[in-house]
Amino acid sequence: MDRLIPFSPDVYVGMFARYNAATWPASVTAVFLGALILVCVRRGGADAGRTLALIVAAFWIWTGWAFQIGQYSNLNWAADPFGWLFIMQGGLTAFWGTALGRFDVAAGRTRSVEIGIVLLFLALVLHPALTFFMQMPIETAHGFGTAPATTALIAVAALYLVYGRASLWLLTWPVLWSAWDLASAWTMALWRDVPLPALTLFAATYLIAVRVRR
Amino acid sequence: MSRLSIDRRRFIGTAAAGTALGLGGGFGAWPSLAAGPDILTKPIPKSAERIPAIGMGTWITFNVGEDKKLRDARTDVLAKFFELGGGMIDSSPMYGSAEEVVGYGLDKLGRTDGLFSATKVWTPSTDHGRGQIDDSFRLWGVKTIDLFQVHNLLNWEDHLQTLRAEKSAGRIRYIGITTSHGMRHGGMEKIMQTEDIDFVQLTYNAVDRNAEARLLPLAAERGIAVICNRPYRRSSLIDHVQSHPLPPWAADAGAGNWPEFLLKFIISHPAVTCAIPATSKVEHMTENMNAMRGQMPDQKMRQRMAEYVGDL
Repeated sequence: MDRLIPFSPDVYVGMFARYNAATWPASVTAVFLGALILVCVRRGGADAGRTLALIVAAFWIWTGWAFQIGQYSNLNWAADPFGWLFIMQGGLTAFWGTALGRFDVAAGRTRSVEIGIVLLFLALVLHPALTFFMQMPIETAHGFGTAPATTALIAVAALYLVYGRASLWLLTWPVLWSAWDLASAWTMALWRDVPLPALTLFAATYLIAVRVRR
Repeated sequence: MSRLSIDRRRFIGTAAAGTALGLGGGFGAWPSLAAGPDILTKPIPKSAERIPAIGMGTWITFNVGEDKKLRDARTDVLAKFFELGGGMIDSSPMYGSAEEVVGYGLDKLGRTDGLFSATKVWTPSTDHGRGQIDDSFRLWGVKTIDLFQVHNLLNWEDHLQTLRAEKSAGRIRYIGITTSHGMRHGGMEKIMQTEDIDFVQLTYNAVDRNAEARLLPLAAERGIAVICNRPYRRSSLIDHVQSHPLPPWAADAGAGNWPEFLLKFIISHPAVTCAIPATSKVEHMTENMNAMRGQMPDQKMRQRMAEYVGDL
């Protein structure tokens, strides 16, 4: 595994500080889009589902383009293919949720919706909180919807917010990415970066188990 | 006489004794020491050109991206490397921004004298490989690259053809192939037997000694220079041994600390041309470079060293 990580943890962490500074105020814009997801949940229905799909797609495409290809590729040869996979995931999400209209936001306050909202909240606060409590520079925190780990968690959260299991195939890439992300953080002994992909994997597994059982 | 000077007569004497006693593992003679009065240099068999026995790897350590502070810190490491007589710097397009950061450092230092540039081509595509080779010249900021290697034997047939053409054109001085982590030794052996190459690069250290059985003797037989990567198993070997005391007899091997102990074990092998430890710290660079100064272990001592490290 260490052969796939050609950089040291401090260089990797420092890269996020430069990325966050270079793309400011993208992280603030992403938080506003996150708030818009809550509006979609409140309204429910097919139109809200289209908006939700577009927001999640935008996060994938932005992170693929600006982070993976624009920033991470300086350190890791694998970032370019990762970036295109992120962009492809964004395209598929947009196509599935808008053109095919398969994102139908669940109406009312169900357990699944509650979990989805909690996951969105964790995508916003978990990494900055870990960064703060582990006394690392806060500017190195992974932003909501602008970093790969948070984007993957948001994508899983979005699937908690929509009806049925037809969209579960969209979990494939977030699960694969989170497994890679978790293994990378573990290999680098970068413990701050472990909980987010671990949570994404757990949440995705639980969602699949619940929806398939129905 | 300086503590750092090499006791050349003793080294050659013990080497000859080792060979006479059949301890040389089939090697005809131990390498002679020459060039600078203080540092161990070894000949590239195909040309007899001598290079310092300790070079520098760039895996992870020089992949710092666009961070100027870290780039400047690596330039300090580079400056110390040259100051202490370093020559070979080894990199690869696989190492992210490492080639670019080396080029940045060379440009900032304003020097390439003494440099023995070594990099790699690493792609399954022959056409892309040509582009990668051109990129390396641009990133290093040099007109000639001393050694171009096919990384991990990837598409080696086609890339060797390309590299031979570049060598004929005078842009490259030597060509070679690489492996690491003890993998693909069978493939490397076959290429060494059938192709005309100048260098091989492989993993060899006090605990990873598979190369001793076939590859190192074959390199000596075929006149191929040997670069040893992962001398510290990235950092795990040095981290492990440093929690133990040096053996009391380490001074007899010319080693005053663990880096010297581990590196002297490698570069004292008669078939080895150069070891390439990587570091991001100036003080570690100093320790590494000191390993090519002073007394070198003979074959009997090398065996003792390997056994000691293996038992830790």
